[in-house]
Amino acid sequence: MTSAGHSHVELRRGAYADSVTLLQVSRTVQGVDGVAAAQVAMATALNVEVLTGMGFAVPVEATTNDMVVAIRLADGGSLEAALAGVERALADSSRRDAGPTEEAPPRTTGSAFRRTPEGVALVSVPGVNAFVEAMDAVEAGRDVMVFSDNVPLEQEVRLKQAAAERGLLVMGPDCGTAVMGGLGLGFANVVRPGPVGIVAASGTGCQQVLALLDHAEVGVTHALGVGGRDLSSEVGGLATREALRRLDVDASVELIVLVSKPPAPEVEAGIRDFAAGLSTPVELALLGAGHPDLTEATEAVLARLGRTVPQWPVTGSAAPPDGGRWLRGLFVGGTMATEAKIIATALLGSEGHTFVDFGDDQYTTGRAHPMIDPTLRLEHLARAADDPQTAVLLLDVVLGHGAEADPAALLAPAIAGVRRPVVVAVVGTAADPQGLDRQVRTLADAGAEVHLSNARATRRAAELLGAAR
Amino acid sequence: MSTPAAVVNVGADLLADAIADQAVPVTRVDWRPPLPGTEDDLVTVTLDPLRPCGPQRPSWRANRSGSDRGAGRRRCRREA
Repeated sequence: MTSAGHSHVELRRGAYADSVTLLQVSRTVQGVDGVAAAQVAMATALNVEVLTGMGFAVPVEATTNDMVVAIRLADGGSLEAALAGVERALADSSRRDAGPTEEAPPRTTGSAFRRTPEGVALVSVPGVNAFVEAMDAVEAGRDVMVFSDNVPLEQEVRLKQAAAERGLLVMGPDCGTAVMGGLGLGFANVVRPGPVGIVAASGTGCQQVLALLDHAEVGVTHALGVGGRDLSSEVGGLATREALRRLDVDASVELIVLVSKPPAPEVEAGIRDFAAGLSTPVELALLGAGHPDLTEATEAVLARLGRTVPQWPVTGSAAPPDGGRWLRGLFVGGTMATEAKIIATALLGSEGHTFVDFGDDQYTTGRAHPMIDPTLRLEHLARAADDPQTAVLLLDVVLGHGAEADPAALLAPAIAGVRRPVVVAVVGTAADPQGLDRQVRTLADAGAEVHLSNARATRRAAELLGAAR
Repeated sequence: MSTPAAVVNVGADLLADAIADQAVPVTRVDWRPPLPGTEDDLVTVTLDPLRPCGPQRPSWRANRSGSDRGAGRRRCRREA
């Protein structure tokens, strides 16, 4: 344990908590009276770099299996009180079942399924460790959702091959959203049951379709994520085929929607053939230049079901920019970024405009997803807002289980300080825990123009830049 | 396909909490990272066809045929 001046850095050997839990702990400790800055994190290379950048001296012997508690005190702050805050936050961070038990918790996925041989596995350990846990589930004969990203591609292929041999479903890796019989896994939105089944190689793409269908009062019984690489040449749609097969034999599913970022052409052809052989009709929502966007694809789904296409809601109004040249898209949803880029490029050309996906692997190694930890996007938003070349800002906010409890409250102060027009797509349903209406109102009150449709938000941003709609 | 009867969560507690909020039982794995530098070795062991549940073993083949799914739940790798 070291303490220098008002700074305190403590290494806790062998202590472990996941990055999301430690993010919450850090936020809580930062709120303790007398604490100027606090960071509680596993000593991964990225976190050590962050801590060093904050001015903390992390002991050189720290390994990725050690927890670092770093605190900077304000004048008059008490280290004892701050450390007590750390202990309280760590204790409160988990809502594990209370009460006495004679059985220690399982230490592996395999041992958990030997105790309770039913249900599905949800894996969100660091990507380098995810394969072993997911294979445990497959070997136990269970479906598995792999929320983890940064899983090597060759491991994904081996995992899905093993699952396909057993008729099991691997959702992921990097699968952010799934709904199984109404149960939301990961960042799933709260939806009503209904006639639609979704297969999605795109987490936020799936959430956009869920949100739009919910607004149209059409329910979804299952939404099976398969991971963004499933329709790549290497994976070949292994999970997509299994998911389609399952929805096809489910009597409650009247129409299947397949949502994906641009697939590999030869895989797309194979999946089209596979879908054509099913007894349940399949609507393809495959993003790409010249293809319908997700809103248009959802409208096609509604038409196919004989439902009325509603007006997609817009709240607030952005004024045209009085300077700048470029559209700056800052996204937490990868498919939202991809869709916006495709639409904006068609309308504005590819030069100069930028579309950043903060959920990309390069931004999430060793840190929580931006739907949970908005810090990185807020930093970039501040920089983009100060850039005189910025003309219009385009953002997304994605709601649902597991996502930040009140993302609009964190984003609104930053938006209120921006002098450029801000257009936001809020992807969520009326029953989501964050409260769709409240999120929209908060952002609109801060000056943003808020859409439910990401495609409509992008077209509006382009319109503000002077392009024809 | 029905609603899963239970979920085994390994990783972020936040996601387990979201399952519990939907009134579905969650088993939380008390996962700890392996020793640094052993990650690839664990993958190699997991893929070893000579493991009790590996592709060359009867339990694996039984599971593939669906004739004895319980066999796949035998002890397959390290146990805490």
